[in-house]
Amino acid sequence: MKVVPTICPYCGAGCPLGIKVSNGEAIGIEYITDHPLTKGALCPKGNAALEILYHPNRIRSPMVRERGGWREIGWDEALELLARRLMEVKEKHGPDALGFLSSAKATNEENYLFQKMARLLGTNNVDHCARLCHSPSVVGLRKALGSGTMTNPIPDLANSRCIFILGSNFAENHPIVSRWVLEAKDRGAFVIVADPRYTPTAQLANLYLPLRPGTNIALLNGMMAVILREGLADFQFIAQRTKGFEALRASLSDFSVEKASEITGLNPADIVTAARAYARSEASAIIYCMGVTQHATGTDNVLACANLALMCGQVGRPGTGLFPLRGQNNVQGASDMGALADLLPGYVPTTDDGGRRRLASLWGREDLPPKPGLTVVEMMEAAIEGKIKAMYIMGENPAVSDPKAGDTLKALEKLEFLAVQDLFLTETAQLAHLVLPVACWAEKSGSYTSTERRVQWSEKAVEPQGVLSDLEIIGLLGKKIGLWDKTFSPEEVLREIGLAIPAYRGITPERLKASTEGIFWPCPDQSHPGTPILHRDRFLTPDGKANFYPVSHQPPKEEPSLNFPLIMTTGRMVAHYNSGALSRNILPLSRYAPSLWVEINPQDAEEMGLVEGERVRISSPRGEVEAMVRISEKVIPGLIFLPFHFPGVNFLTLKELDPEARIPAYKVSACRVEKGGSHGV
Amino acid sequence: MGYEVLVRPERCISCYACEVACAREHGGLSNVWVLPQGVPILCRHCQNAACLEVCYTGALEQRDGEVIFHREKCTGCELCLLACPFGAIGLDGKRAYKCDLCSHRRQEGLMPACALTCPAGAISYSCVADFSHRKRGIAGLSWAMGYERRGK
Repeated sequence: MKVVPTICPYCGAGCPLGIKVSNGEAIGIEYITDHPLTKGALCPKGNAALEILYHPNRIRSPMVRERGGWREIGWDEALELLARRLMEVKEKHGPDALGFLSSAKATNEENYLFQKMARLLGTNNVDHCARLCHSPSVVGLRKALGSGTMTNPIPDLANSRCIFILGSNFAENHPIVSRWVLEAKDRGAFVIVADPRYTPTAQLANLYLPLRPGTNIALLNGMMAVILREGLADFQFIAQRTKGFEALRASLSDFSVEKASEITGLNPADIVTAARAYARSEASAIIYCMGVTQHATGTDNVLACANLALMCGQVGRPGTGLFPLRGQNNVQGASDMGALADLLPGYVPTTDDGGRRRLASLWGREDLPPKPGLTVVEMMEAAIEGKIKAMYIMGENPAVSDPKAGDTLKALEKLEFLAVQDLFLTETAQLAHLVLPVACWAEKSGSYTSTERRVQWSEKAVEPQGVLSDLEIIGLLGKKIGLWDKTFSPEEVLREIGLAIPAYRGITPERLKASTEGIFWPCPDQSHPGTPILHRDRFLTPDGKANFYPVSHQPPKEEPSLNFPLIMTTGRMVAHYNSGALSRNILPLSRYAPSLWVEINPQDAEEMGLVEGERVRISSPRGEVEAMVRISEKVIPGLIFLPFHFPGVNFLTLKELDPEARIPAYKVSACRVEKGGSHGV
Repeated sequence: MGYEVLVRPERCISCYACEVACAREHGGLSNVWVLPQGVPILCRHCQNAACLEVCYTGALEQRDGEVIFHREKCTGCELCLLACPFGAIGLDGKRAYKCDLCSHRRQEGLMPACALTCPAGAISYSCVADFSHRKRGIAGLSWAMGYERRGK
């Protein structure tokens, strides 16, 4: 028996997961105790991960959809069909009639090769679900600090004296973060949680701020107004390391804690306490997540967080910084690899002629398409309009995860050709013309980049049965199309990534395999130890200075109305994972919540005459879904909460996009709740 | 001093990792129960164990500070389950079941799964003296700093 070190396939924390292998079969998991992040810990999903490996619902053969149902075909026929259909569409309608969704679950190597394929075919229509979670961080933090990533490692939170948590429920979604926040708290740190819902994370707070949904900027600006009024800003830091402070100060001159209180619904004294605690502490950190980003003002929300951190000089030292927690095991890596419609590997804009041509020459081309491609939601709109004719989706489930998902179903059904590559026959795969089964994390090797920018190697534990890895499939497909003349090992691709992305230059397969704790990028050369803390002496902006961008509160795109009097917000729960493809059919997890539920405040429940466990119909102007009532004071009156892991929730959500990051405004929708689902009480 | 599974409920985030891990290690049945309020309940291996007092077949035995359960001697009378002040004994068909401190893991030199897996550090496998020493330090610091504690 041996224990093979892999990286957990669920959230973005990047916890190591040992797989016990005997005679080529995985027989159990083992905790890896020498890792600095986890010390052996795993959340319930990590503990259940092995269920994915031998799950009876795994697809084991390529399949085509025919009138009578699914027909299994051989790998050669499947790849032939995929290559032929993609090329037919390209020749008939041009490369921009193709759409590619890459995967935050796949390795760095797979994402790199996937976007390379799309771009060599002549289109930038390649994107992935980072668009739906942290694109405002990529855009906003890049503008402010020069990098959209987390500034400090998770265990460094133990050095914080004040931790301000905004719109993040890490206790359920990144449970390992709790360990380090609690460690800081044991050492006397003051913990503030702002969230409209009293989550398990809020239970850890010294100060809980139940702000109204969609009012982050008002809270942050209110705190900054207090900090300026009381002279708590770090003026030395502002003078030496930032630009644009005067504009920010001017923008806040007519804002006050009273106005913030009016908009957020918070007690003004609590806003003052939060502001003082954050500004005065020797080391303060901000943790934020989807409650900040998934708004039509997502980029502005992120900028407001950056403004607060910069104003107080709380960046670039241990215990400080910004922590935009990523939700998928490789969403950071997929973004680094350029699986984004507007950014090439290493965050080079497609419109940057010099950077683009440098990459093109590495790929043996003269140039690549300069026009930014369509993003996740825009691709679906283009499909409805008939501009995108064929899509190739690797390991994503937009039929469940897209906003206003009713439109996504229409879009996918309208495509001339849809190929989906996944572990299971997901809601999206069921609409495909061709389904390709893939190896799961334990059946392949490669590197993943965690939310901390920690790049780690995951070993293959067992041989795949009947399936190929994403990397093998893309390699074979590219060979069939004639983009390259061989297939690639993960090691080969990682070496090319080192050539393409300066921050990965020093990260080699050999170094990663020899390391138990991975390497933090930027790592400019092979003797460089990596960079756990960013922005220590200079920011990653071209001139090394951070930028203030004044922002002001905008009301959410949709307000409650007579017909839709409640506000609906969505989020996650600990036992489930994203679109549910990796949890709804995993019994040790799904038994905690086999079906969709809705949280309603007791006051609202009483007015509507609802009882615990009753089935209700929830509708918004865009669609409806049924759920089981959970009466709870976790949500304030007028607000309902739905976990988005179940199909249908996103039929209700809003497709309004943030103008810069193109993220949909998932977090606030108007809705109504009616008694009696179709199954009765 | 012997090692025990010790709990800091104020750290529990109700993530159920211990339940999922325990069930995996014990053939699908978890010997630990997490309450939604954030308290993991499991056998305390009492020094004066009520379950042991009422067991008339000798299926429960105290050895080296542990309450050990011999499944083959259990008649399923449920007296131990009634006696346990914590509700930390379950019934699986006709026999009782309870925490065995992952005896199969300890034989291989590994810690009990719940203590290792707990992401929040609410469950630890440590000795009482160290545990109390740490808690005194935290309480003292909090007292000295005078922070108002709300919620947990």
